[in-house]
Amino acid sequence: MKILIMDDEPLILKLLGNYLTMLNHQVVPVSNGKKGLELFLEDPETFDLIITDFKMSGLDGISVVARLKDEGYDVPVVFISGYGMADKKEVTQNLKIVAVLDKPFDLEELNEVLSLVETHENKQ
Amino acid sequence: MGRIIKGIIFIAILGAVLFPVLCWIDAFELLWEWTGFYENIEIDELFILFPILVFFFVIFLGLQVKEIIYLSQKLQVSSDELKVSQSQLVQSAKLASVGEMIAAVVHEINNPLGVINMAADVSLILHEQGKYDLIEEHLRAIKVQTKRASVIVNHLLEFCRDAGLEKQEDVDINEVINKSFIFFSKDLSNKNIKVIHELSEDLPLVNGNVIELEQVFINLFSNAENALRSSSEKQLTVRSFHRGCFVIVEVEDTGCGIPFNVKSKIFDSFFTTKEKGEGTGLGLSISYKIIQNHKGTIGVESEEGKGSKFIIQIPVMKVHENIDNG
Repeated sequence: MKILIMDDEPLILKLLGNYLTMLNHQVVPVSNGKKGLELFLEDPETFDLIITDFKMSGLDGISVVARLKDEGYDVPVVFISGYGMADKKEVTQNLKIVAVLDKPFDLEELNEVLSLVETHENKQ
Repeated sequence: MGRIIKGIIFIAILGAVLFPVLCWIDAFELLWEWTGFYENIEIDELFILFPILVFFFVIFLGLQVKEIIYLSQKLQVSSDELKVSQSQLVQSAKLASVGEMIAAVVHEINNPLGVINMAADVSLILHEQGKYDLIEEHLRAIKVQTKRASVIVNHLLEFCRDAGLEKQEDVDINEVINKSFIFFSKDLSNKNIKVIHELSEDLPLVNGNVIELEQVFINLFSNAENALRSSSEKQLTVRSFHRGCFVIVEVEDTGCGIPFNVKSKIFDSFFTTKEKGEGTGLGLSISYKIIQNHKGTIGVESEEGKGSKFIIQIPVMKVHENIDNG
């Protein structure tokens, strides 16, 4: 899969990027929402998944996803959050969000989400 | 009313006791005879009454002394209770400040925990794959992030606990300002609040309590963050400089400002403009008290819709000592 990762925590970005690369995914890591949105819009059809931090300085994850939805893109999104958002269902309403993972999360949790997305992709 | 009656009785008894004593004076005896007021009572009979009156007077005096001792003990107990209440109020306000910024604190801890957990997971995979040379980098990341989380947790503990409230020491105000940002600098950045530090490099020391002063700055930053929520221009400027005998700190925001009709109430206890459950109304009143205890002043300049500037003045250490010495 081609995955866009957005997080302003450099180490999360690096580790997550390395891990997904190890799993043979193509990773596009960016440290802010503005850059992420630009890269996505350059070639929107090629992205299979967005993994984004919930809050970032500048354009945050939820604004990026809302913007993509407004423009008609239906890409699956996984939110990662340091604010304990996983139980806040209102966050995921109206947006095609596959999962909200609260930091610290195990890579096993991420693997389950990736399998879910891949299964969904294959069905389509 | 009871005290007035007691007073009259006291004066009456005092008069009755002093009267026979004065009778020893010849001139008074003459006056006594001239008035003929006590014509049926012999002077000698008055001297029989004298010890009885003294006895009652001593009893009365004893009761009064006992009551004075009782009242002074009661006053001492009340004063001690007041001190405890004040200390509890300071503690409550401190915990309320932490409560108000708990989301930011959680974020500051969860982020390094996220890195640690992920680095550990990746290390395990690398270990399984026998790529030992790549593990070291992840272990180093774990160490750095553990330190990062522990700084926040330890500082939270230091800030919350009761100990050290009485401790007075030489304080570098700039250091206190920087420590105050530990909890929520990332949160301010996430909320797109631009923080500008204009801290003078040659700031003299002040004498004070680091934790209390930090509480003041946290309250001001937290209020500024709240005021900036709906502003288009989100800027928080923290300035420190030295003028005359004072170290001055200005905390200025471009937020909603303070309406004129509430400006005089902002330092009152339990006054808040925040939503129910979001503010205790203790932050600024406690801050006012803390700055007052540091022999300083805190004031505000504000314009509704344009922003607020809180100005704190604290005497530099030498002046402080002179004030103490009178």
